[in-house]
Amino acid sequence: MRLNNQLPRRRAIGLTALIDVVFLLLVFFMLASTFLKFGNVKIDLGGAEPAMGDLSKIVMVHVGKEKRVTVDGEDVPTAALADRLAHLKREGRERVVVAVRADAAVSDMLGIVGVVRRSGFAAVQVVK
Amino acid sequence: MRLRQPETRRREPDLTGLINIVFLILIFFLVAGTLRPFADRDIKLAKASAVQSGPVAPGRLVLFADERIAYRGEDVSVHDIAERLRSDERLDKTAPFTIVADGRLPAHRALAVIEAVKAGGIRDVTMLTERQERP
Repeated sequence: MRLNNQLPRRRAIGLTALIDVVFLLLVFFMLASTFLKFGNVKIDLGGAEPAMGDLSKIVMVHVGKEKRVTVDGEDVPTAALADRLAHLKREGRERVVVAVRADAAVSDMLGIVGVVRRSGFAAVQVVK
Repeated sequence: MRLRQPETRRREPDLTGLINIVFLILIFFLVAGTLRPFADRDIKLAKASAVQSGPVAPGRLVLFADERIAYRGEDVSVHDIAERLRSDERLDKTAPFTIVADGRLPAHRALAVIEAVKAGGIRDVTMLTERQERP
């Protein structure tokens, strides 16, 4: 007796649809993804809480064009701002008010507010 | 004269190598990249060493360098923002609200928008930045 034990020949799986989908996913992720690192800077406006309390505990920071900064009316280089704020904090200052001049851009404001926030003051307010 | 035409039976190209590479690139983008929290490619974010990092909420309010404002992809004016936010039921007003602003925009324009957003009932406003490593 002769048994027919011949296996059916395997057909190759069609890969065209798979490649279509994979290419689609690839293009989507290439366009939608980014390698930048993002961060947030919180902005509290001056009117959020009444400007009461001890005025001598407030540090006044002015920001102008190209991150030109004055602290309590004194010009401070941007690189030295963090040190100056840390020093003032040790002296017992509690709050910082960042006044943004009309010629400042958003990048100037956010750069300086970021530095001020990192210096550890409890309240940072941004005013015009 | 009758020329014998050569038999031009097309073979299917072997796609396995191609698929391997494409899969590899796909996985690279999946792992190494993060999805951008906003869709507009012509925004140039401000650089700042931010205090808060980590996951960033999608920015629904986008301020362009040419002073155009878009909320959920639709153009709005500063005066409409408060009303739009108040009437937006899908928006969680207690969660931090992220504003995407071009770094070249005058800061006073951005502050006016933030005032409007606060008037729309939102407490926490943050602005998206490109994180800068500490010097």
